[in-house]
Amino acid sequence: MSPGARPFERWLVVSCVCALAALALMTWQIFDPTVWPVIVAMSLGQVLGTASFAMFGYVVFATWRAGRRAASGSMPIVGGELPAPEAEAAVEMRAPASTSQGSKEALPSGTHSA
Amino acid sequence: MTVLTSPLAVVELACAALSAIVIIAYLVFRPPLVRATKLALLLGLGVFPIGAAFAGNVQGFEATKKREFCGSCHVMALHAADSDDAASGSLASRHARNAMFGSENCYVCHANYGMFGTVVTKAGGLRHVWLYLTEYRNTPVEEAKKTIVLREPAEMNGNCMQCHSTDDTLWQKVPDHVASLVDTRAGRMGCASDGCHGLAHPFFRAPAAVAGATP
Repeated sequence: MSPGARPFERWLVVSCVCALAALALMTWQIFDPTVWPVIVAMSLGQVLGTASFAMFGYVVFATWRAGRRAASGSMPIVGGELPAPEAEAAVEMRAPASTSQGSKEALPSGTHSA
Repeated sequence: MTVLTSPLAVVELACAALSAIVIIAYLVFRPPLVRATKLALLLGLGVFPIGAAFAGNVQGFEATKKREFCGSCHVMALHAADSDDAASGSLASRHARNAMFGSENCYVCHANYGMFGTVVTKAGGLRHVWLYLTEYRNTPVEEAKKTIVLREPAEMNGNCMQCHSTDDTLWQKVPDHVASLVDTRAGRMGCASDGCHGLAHPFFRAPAAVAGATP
């Protein structure tokens, strides 16, 4: 996984923990249908579950955007999304082009500049 | 296990279990965030939890209608115990023994009717929760039964009349009913009062009879 993916991974871990807590609260009310379990499940449980899903949505969007940015100008995007390994490869391909060694070295072998 | 007799509870538990499996698998194996992983997490963090929340919420709303739920606040323990008492002659207990009311007799008698009756009732329930947290959490049961009264006692006749219609010929054959028809419909005379059908709960008193009571 690329270094840029680590913050996303942390968000996903938080999202998973929130989801597990929400599921535990929602399951608690099934086994103990009294006032506090039901109220906590319908309030805190819903908040945690919604936050978890929102974080997951954010991660999906952020990785998709990062993939597009990494691939823009160097690779055509098919299907609107790049898998993570391809995005990493795109980042690695672009990195030499920004160095002082010139753009000629960044071209794939067998190609000629004008 | 009693919870497994409810289809909603089974759905909730199944969705929660499937979701937990996906989430724990992700946390343990930490696969790269490729399309397949995202799809699996969409199930584990989205589809299954939403299913669990939906089934759990409906099950929770159903649970709020049960006498067990109402009696789980200690200040309502005596009310629930009286309803559970098959030997009690109170209105609450007699209605609890009726299959139309059964274990939901608190809700059936105290719920508001009309298009938004359920919403109004649940909003009123939240008010009860607030009062419990702020005023009654540490109140002894003996003190609570003297101070808790109906907030809108005049509305209670309307709930009685949902089943016991005052337009019914049998109802109107009772001379006392005919004499009190206007006052009964207006809520000025309670069906559940000492002079008529007795108190709904053995220790219930009208707000006017309880000094310093909190409805």
